[in-house]
Amino acid sequence: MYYLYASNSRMDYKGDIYYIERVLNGEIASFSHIVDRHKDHAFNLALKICGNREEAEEVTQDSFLKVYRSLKEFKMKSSFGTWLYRIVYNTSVSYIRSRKRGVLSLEDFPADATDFASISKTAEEAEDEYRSSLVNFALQKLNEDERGIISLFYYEGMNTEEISEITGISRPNIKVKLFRARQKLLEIIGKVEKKKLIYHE
Amino acid sequence: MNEAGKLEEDILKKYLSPEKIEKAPESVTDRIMNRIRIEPASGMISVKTQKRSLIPLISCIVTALLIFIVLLLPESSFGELPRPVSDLFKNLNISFPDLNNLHLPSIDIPVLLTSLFVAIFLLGLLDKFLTGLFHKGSK
Repeated sequence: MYYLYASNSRMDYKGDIYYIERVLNGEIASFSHIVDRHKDHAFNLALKICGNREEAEEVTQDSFLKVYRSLKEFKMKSSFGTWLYRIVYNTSVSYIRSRKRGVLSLEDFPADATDFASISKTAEEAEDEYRSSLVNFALQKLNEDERGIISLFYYEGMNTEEISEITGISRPNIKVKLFRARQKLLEIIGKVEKKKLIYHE
Repeated sequence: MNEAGKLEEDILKKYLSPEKIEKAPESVTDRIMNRIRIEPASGMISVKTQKRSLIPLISCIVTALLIFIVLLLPESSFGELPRPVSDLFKNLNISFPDLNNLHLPSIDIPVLLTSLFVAIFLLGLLDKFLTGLFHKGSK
């Protein structure tokens, strides 16, 4: 019963501590439970910051390895989720800053969901794929801090205080960056949607 | 938030909702665990270090107990102890005062110091024994 509950709750404090203690007692295999519980959210954050799946997977692996190496330094009274997100965020941002990439143009993005139809089973799935790709594309037009803040705010449902704790950016600054990032995203989404309408006409 | 702000927020939430998080590939867990298995086990190191830090402590306690038994028990009480134990203490007792008669006339070595030398020797032996024992257990 406990395990069922633990596996269903992403931020379940007791479950995390239970597995951390087992790993610290030498049961390395228990670390796979920690990975399974958090990998999707860690991967999603890395993906939104890095912009592609291969790099996001590498960052996710590196982040969990860092977590494992410094597990004995983790203070059991604090939130494991916040600690993990901080590591994923910092690893992703460092990764992005270490590589250079050309600026994407709006022309780089496909005009319509039909472009995704070949890889999706239904029209609904194609629309989801389209939106997901559009978001990933639009996020790449923001800087890495803004990408992280947007992901933590919308996908993880965190408030500005929690985001500040993870990113190390002051709360007022988070609010400013969040506002600017929202405006940029809306502008990009608006432009792409407009392009889509013209394409249909 | 005004009407326009709410509308913008709704548009963003259509694209960025928690239900739309992208899942990590299934193989990620295996890959991470494979990398961890070839790492020096940092978690284990801390446990081993903790265990090893206990060894000198246990050794000190045991040795101190042995010394205090020898110093505090009256001579007659050795007879009541089991034979191998009493034999050990008797032997130790014999070897203690001899160090005072070495060719170092100007230095007066107290009896306690000779006991300490014996204690260090015993401590070394016990340490070696316990290290072997813990090391074997952690493999």
